[in-house]
Formats: sequence, C-alpha cells, structure tokens
Amino acid sequence: MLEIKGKSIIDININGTIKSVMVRPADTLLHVIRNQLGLTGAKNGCENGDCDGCTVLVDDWPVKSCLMLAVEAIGHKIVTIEGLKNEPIQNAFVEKFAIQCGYCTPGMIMNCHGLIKNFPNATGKIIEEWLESNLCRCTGYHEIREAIKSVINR
Amino acid sequence: MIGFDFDYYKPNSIEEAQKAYKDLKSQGKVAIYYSGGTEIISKARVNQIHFDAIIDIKGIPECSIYGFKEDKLIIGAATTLTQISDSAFFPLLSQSCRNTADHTARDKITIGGNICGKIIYKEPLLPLLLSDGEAVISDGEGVKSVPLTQIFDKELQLEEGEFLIQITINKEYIFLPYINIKKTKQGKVDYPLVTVASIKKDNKIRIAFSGLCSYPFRLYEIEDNQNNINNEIKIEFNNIMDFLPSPIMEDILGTAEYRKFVTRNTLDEALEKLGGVLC
Amino acid sequence: MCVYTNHPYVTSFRGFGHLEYTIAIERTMDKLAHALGIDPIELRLKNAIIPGDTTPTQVELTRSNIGNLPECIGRLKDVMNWEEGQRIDIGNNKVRAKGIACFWKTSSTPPDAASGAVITFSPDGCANLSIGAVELGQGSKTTLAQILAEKLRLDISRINVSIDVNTQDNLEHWKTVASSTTYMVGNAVIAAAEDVIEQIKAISSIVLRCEAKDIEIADGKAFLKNNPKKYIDITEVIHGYRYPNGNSIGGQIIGRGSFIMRHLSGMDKETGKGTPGPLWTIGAQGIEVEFDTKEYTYEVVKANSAIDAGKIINPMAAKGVTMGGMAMGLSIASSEAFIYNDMGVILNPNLRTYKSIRFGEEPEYLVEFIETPEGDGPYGARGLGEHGLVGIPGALLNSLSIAAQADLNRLPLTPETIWRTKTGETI
Repeated sequence: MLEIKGKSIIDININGTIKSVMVRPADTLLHVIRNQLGLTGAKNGCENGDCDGCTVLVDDWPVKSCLMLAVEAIGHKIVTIEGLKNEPIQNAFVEKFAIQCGYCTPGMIMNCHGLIKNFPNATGKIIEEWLESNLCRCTGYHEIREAIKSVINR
Repeated sequence: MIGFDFDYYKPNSIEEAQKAYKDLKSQGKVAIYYSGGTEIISKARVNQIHFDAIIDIKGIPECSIYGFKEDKLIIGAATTLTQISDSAFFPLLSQSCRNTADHTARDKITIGGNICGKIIYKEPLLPLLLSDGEAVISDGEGVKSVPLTQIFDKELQLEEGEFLIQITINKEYIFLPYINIKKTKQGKVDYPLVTVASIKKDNKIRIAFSGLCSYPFRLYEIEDNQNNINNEIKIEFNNIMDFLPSPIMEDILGTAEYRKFVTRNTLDEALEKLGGVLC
Repeated sequence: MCVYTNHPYVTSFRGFGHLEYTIAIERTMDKLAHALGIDPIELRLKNAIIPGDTTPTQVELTRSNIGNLPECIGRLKDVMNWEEGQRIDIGNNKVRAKGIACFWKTSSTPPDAASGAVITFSPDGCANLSIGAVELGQGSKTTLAQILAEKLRLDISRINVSIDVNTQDNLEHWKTVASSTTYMVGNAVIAAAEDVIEQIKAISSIVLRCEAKDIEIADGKAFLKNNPKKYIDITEVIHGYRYPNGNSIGGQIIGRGSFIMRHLSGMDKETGKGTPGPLWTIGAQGIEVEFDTKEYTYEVVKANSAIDAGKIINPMAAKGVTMGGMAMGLSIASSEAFIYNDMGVILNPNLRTYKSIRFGEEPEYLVEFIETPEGDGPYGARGLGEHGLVGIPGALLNSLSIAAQADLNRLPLTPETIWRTKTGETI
C-alpha cells in the first residue's frame, strides 16, 4: 500500500521526464508544478475548479490541477503547456488571434489539445461540451472557436 | 492551498482499506475515504472540513469496474463522470453525469464521490434511485449489498468506517423509456435550479428530483397515485407538490415560487415524452 | 466619515460608468419611440449627434473629433435586417426580437495627461521603441509598432517594442486606461519617428552631398528622391557615419517624442462647460434574441456593432477587443451580479456562483468599423478599447423588452426577473 506521511519526496512524470519533488500530501498538483517545478503556465485562476486556468493533461485527459493532489500524480503521465512545442493548436491560436491577455490560454490550449488527441474528428457538440469548461474574459470565444475548428477540420 | 496537513494512503484492496481505517482510528486519527477528491480539496482549502488522513480508493480494483456482468451493470465508485457520460451502457445515467459540473471537472469527479459528498445536488444519483440500484458497501468486516432506496435518505447513510464500493443496476432498467431535464438559473454550467429525471416501468411513471428541495429524492408517493386513462398516465401537479418531502428551496439560484413555476413546466415536458400528462 | 466594511469596493467596470447611463438613455429612447409610434431606429437617426452639435459640456463637435453616428446606425440597420421586423413569432412558444442601443465615449483624462516615446536603433538597423504603455492583451504594443513601421517605412519585423515597463526609468504614459493608448502613445511615437527621420536625413544629406529635403527614407535606406540608386543604408548612419579614412560624424540616432493632451479643461462649476476629452468614439449596437414565451428563457443569437473609431490600425486586434467587450456586456447584462443578504454578506463570492459567459453561450458576432478619421489621431485613429461593451446591456434590455412585451429595466436579465416583471409576481 502506498503511504505518504508528512513532507516526502515523490517522483512525477512531467512532460516526459521523471522529476523528484518534495511535497506535502496536502499540496495540490497546481501548487507543486508552479512552485516546485517552476512551470508557471498553469494558472491559479480560481483554485476552485471553475475556470480551467490550471488545466493539465493526466494520461492525455484534461484535469484541473487545482483539484488534484500532487500525490495522486504518482504513476501517471502529466503534460503541461510547457510540454507542448509547435503543436497545430498552438499555431492555430496565434494565427486566429485567439489570445489577448493570455491568462486563460495555457488551460485553453491544454483542453483543446486533449480534445484533439481523444476526438480528432470532434463534432461541434463535443467541442462545445469540452470548451465550456474554460472561462475567457477577453476574447468572447469567437477566435478560440475558429482556432480549434481549423485544427479539427484539417 | 490546503492549510492543514494530512497523510495519504492508497490501498490495493478492500481489506487493505478497511485495515488502514481501523489502524488510523486506533491511533485517534480522523480518516476519510477519497475518490475523485474534487469536493474534499475544495472544502479543505476553505477549512470547511478537517481530517488527519485520506484513504484513496482509486487503487481498489472493485471500485474501478464499469461494465456488465451477467444481468447487472456494475458501476465502480471510482468511475469518473466522463467515463460514464462517454459510454452507452446506461443512457439516462450518461445524461445525468453529462449535466454535472463541466467536462474537465467530470474527468476527475467520480460517481462515488458525487453520491457520498456533501454537495446537495447529486444529479447522477437520480437514475440510480429510479432504477432500484443496489449499493455495494464495505462495512469494516466485509462487503454487503443494500438497496439504494433503503440506504439513501437525504444522504447516503453510511456508518463510520464504511465506504461505497459499487452501485449495481439490473440490466432491464437500462432499456426503459426515460427523460432527464435540467433547468438552471442562467447558462449551462451551474448547479440545477431543478432537475427532473423520470422513467416508465410497468406502465408507471417514476420521478426523481434534484435541486427542488435541499436534497435529491425519488417521489415514491406519486407512483401509487397515477391514473391511466386511454393509455395516457395522468399525474396531478398539486399531488406532487403535496408529497414533497421538504419545502421548496429558496436560495441565490432562485426563489421557491420561481422553482415551482419551472418545475411545473419541466414536469409538463417530461411527462409528455413518457406518454403522460400533467394536470 | 469613513467606515471599514468587508464589502467589495466599487470601481470601474469596463467603460467606467458608461454602460450604466447608456441603459437609462437607450431604454428611454425605446420607450419614447413606442409612445410616439416611431420606429426606434428612425427616432435615433432623427436625434443622432453630428458635427456642429455640442456635447453636454458644450464642446463643439467637428468632423475631426467625433465619428459618424448616422452611418453607424445605417450600417447596423442593414446588417440586422431591420426591415424584416423587430419581433417575429417563430412558433413553438419562441419569438425572435431585435433591440438596439447607441453609445459614445470620450477618452477622458486629466488636462495635462501626457505620453512619451524614445526610439533607438540596434546596429542591424532594427528600431527599438521604448514606451510606458502596458500590454495586457489589447495589442497596444503591436499597434504602436505598426504606427512606427508605417512612419519609418520599415518592415514591422524590424521593429522591437519594449515589453516590460520599468516605472523608475521608462518613458511615462499617463495610464493604460480610457481607451487612450493608441491615440496618446501613437502620437508620441509619430513625434519620435519624425525626430529620427530628421536626424537621419541631416547626416545622410552630408554623406550624399545634398539637402535634407532631397532625401527619402524607406526600407532601411536613405536615398535621393530623384535618384533612388544613390543611397546609404541606415545602418551606416544610426550609430554614427564613418568615412573611408576613419573620420566619423553624427552619433547614435535617438528619437524623442512626446504628446500632451491639447485644449482640455476642467468643468466650470456654474455652467458645466469644459472639455473632458479630445475625441468621441461613437457607435450603434444591436442584439437579436430568441425568447421562449413559456419558460422566459432566452438565447442571444446575434450581437452586432457598427463603430466609428477612426482609422483602424490593426483590424484583427480591433475586432478582437470589440467582441470581447460585447461578450463582457452580455455577461453582465444576463448573469453577473453580486448577491447580498440583508446583512450585506456576499452570497456568491467565487466563480462557481458568480457566473460569467462561457464558450457556447456567445452569439454570432458582427463587427463593422466606419472609419471617419480623427483629425489629430495617429493616422486618424480614435479610441477603441472599452467601447464594445457600452451599448450591449441597453440593447439586450431593449430586445428582451420587445420579445417579452414587458418593461425590463434592471440587470441581470435572468429568466426569473423577466418572469416576475412580466407576470407581476412580486417577491
């Protein structure tokens, strides 16, 4: 049985590499990736699971890292925005002007990337179901819609 | 950021989980079972709950089963709402799960956590109540199976140290006519103002509600109060209102009067789909 | 007297008070139109503010300092297909309805608000622009780079804009607010660019043995207007020119530009006369809803804006911030609000319960720009940052009032409030 009592060093598979981090069992994955691993792409938007600004991929599925304990990441594959390089969705966001202040962007892109990986031929309904998780205050969502559509319809 | 410390245990079997709980108890520690954890983390962060240890059930194989076995659908407590909503095993349950929270949250929220948690809506519970589901529970000595209708009253009535392993549903319920309608204050991602879930079995309409009162419930009384005239099942709205187990909720989502108005429209729509009529 | 409370403090919501008063004015216009039996668009056209009119603080409006409202209204009328009717029953308890609102806003600043810009060059000929405006996603730095690229006739890939703003020694910009950055900093950038051009021409004219007025600068070259084959690369000038024998003249080219608001004044206490801002961006917005007359729920199907913000320097950025403003306007009009109990405690203190608009709830957007040049704006640009939001709540109130055939005057427009207003149910 896995037991983690008090502050401990655990191994997390993050962006393809195994990293050792010192964590409290009470630390959320968001806290650890930002403060221990310096990966500040995932954002502290609301820390309540409502905005999706903290979204990372866990075994290719989007999860709000503010609602996941770091210790739960043991044995799973975590990918953050820093782990994506030149993906079609990233280029689409730039091309379609789907970024203004950029705060929602990492979470938005991780969710879109997860969607494309799991449903490469997603219909409009599935796109809406997935993306209604992410709050954006700046864009009004139009360009973001264009960006994801441009990749899925490729 | 959770401001207090606790220990983490991840048992690989029901027995290990039971032993872990007993050991922690004997050390005077407060332990709680942990599945998706979304509610636990949210409440711990604002100091609404406190505990010394969590026992993560996601490593227990029986808690992660999701599929048919003979004539039953077995739903492990650690099954995520996305796993259920993306499957075609039990369409009504898939819909209820799909209506809960938002998609990314559903990748983590589990059906066990949703049913056993303190948040009052528990929309995925409604199909399970309507379908006479059984709760498979670890009770410290072993495992027992109890009808949900017996063990759910405002909350799942678990004794100390017990935890939910699975829910099982008889296959026959899965093919029954059904409807599930969720109404919110505004917008799709929100707690329900009122959710109506309904199935038709043996020519009787069963109805369950979430959001209408301060806990979800199946309105058993209405099942014996239906008149079948010319193949149309008549149900009186006032009867439903009279049989409500507690006053209609009044909160920031809506007033009681407005909820009553919305419920009437929703029942109207729901019953029509199932060959009934609301009068 | 000051009392400490735990209530949220009040501050500006995008538009700084404009959405609020616009609701009052635009609901009134619709109600007047109804009472007079005049089409709401006709009434607004009849009363549209135009050059020659004065503002409420008696500023005279000219072709230079205000956009063309009648044209905005006309464009809106076309794109909304106004002629087909304002309220259309589409069956199944559903009604489609259109509502509009006009708006305007000046970039009101202190009378001495000012901006600065400094241009230096890297040895490879790239221009480095240092300014005090903050980039928060509105695309200011890009727009200002475009202005500089245009003025220097240099490809935009050869313009670098400082990203961080160091408040100790960066050039000051009054504040990155009030939809004034393009106007104020843009003018400072143009002034700095003109300074650069003058210095480059001065040195180049010595090297090319001609008058400064004979020289043109483009694509990183200073050349004779009458014979472009006679040129020098600006890289030879920007850090000083060195003759073949080693003698050097000139030095680093450092462009300095500043801009200060002109002719602004406070308001006279007796008469209210004064000039609060340099320009008025104006527009007309419309909302089309699909309303369910049984459930009192609705969907915002289309949101339209026809805005005159002068020359649009970056169309995609301009459209982006305008759509963002429209979404924000719809959000505050339909669901955002702090809810207090009678002890003044906020009952919805997080994003779970304070609801803003989500993906899938946004309408089809249509944004059109009418470009009447601002006389003293950079390349004719006026302000445009907040404006997308301003008329939207009023337009939504107007469209839902028509849809529900009720007098809706309060936000947020939730189905319950529409139901209560329509049926007379009181709390």
